[in-house]
Amino acid sequence: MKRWGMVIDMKKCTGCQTCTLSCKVYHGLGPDVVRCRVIEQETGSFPAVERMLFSLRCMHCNEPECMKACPTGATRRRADGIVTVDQDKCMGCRYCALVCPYQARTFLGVEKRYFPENGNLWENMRYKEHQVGTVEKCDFCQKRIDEGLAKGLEPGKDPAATPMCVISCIGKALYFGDLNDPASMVSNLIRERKGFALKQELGTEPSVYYLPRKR
Amino acid sequence: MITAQRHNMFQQEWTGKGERGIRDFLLIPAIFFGAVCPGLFISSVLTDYVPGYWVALALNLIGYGVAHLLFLGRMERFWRAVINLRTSWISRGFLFNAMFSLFGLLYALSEAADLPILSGPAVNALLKLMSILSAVLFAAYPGFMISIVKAIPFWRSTLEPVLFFLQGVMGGMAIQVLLMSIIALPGAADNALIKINTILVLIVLLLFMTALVIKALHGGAEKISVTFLTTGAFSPVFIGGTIIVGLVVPLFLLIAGLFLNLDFGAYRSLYYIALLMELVGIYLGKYSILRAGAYAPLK
Repeated sequence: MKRWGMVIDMKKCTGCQTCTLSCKVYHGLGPDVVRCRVIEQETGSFPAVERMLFSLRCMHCNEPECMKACPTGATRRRADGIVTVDQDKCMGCRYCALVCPYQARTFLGVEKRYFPENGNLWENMRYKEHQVGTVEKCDFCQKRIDEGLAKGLEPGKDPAATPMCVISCIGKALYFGDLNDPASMVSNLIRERKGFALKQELGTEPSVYYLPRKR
Repeated sequence: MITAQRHNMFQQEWTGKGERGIRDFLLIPAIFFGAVCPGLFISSVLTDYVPGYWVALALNLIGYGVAHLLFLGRMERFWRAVINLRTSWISRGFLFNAMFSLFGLLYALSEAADLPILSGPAVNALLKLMSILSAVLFAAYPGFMISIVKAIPFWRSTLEPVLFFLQGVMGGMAIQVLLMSIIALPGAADNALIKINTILVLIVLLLFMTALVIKALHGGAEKISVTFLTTGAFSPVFIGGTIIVGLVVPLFLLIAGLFLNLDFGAYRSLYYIALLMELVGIYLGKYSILRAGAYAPLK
């Protein structure tokens, strides 16, 4: 069985937020609603200061805290490891957003549009896919993956079957693939460059790995 | 050591961003009433104060039930909350509230009306036991709900459920004494309630202090939360509101009253002020604890 995962090369990430924007445009996310973002973190003190950029999104954990916390069963983990929210079941209690150690969820409290009256066809179509009063999160562009697989494409290699943030990254810092396949590019990168996951001590077993800037 | 992180480390999901107006801020009143209503019920049952049962159940319905429903993004789906009982504390809380409402109502009916189906000592004792048990679980569940959140180290403490329960009983007793000023019954146990309440205030104050010291010693995100509450932007609310107004001053007034042997009947206003201050402190305490929930840094 496949387990989709992502690898983010911190050496290549420039913090340009193209992943954030491409995600917002593709999914038609309104103001203040993000599924993917880049945050800066500084460590140490002068002169040994290090600035790190973390491209954050849902980590699609193997042991998702959000799924355990969800009272309605709206949050589910698919067989291929993608954690999804069924917006028809979510009651908007926001417990999942609270328990997520990566702050990867956003509550859509009111309808938010950048251009409420003059939205183009794409925006109008995408806005309809979001339900006010429910929680939003990254789903690794599951529709693209599922449709791509149905067409015989390979996620991570064929752009049409790969998450938007990965194909739009200008620094080619994002990789997508099957973590269960030891020969896949993501598995090789994690192995060779000592990839790490965030907050592993919590036992969530994330499916998003980061490659350190220094070897 | 993290020196700067350019994103909000404090949770805002449960304390409100305000984009939906007042609905976003209704969780704190819901949690407040979710603590003091079972507390009032327990205190009333133990002192046979029947009006207290009804007030507790009515406040629970409006203050907890309606407020909680309005806080939800899709309140029409509230019934789905019971689906994940195995792992979700929200589901369990929903169940505890339903049990408390049902058994509390049945017990109140058995005490108030002579219904054949609810009469008999065995049925009465069973209803009393079940209503108290469900009230205890309901009062403590928000403490369990936040203490299992791995993402927010400040909340991860076994003291939380104890604090939530004791604050609930403390607030419930305060409401009962205040209620007795309106609906007095013969043989009311005002003085006994005041004495127990004083002990509870002292225990809660000590628990707060213990929890804060332990958390401050841990460092990291826990220390960030403690600093936020004690010396940071939120200290007027927490130190001023929860600790001084809600615990220290009432404790001083109550102890002074007890030591000076001031009879409840003669010095009512002194005790009423102390009890009202306790309630304000409990409310601000819930808000402060939730507001100070800081996420651990990423790496």
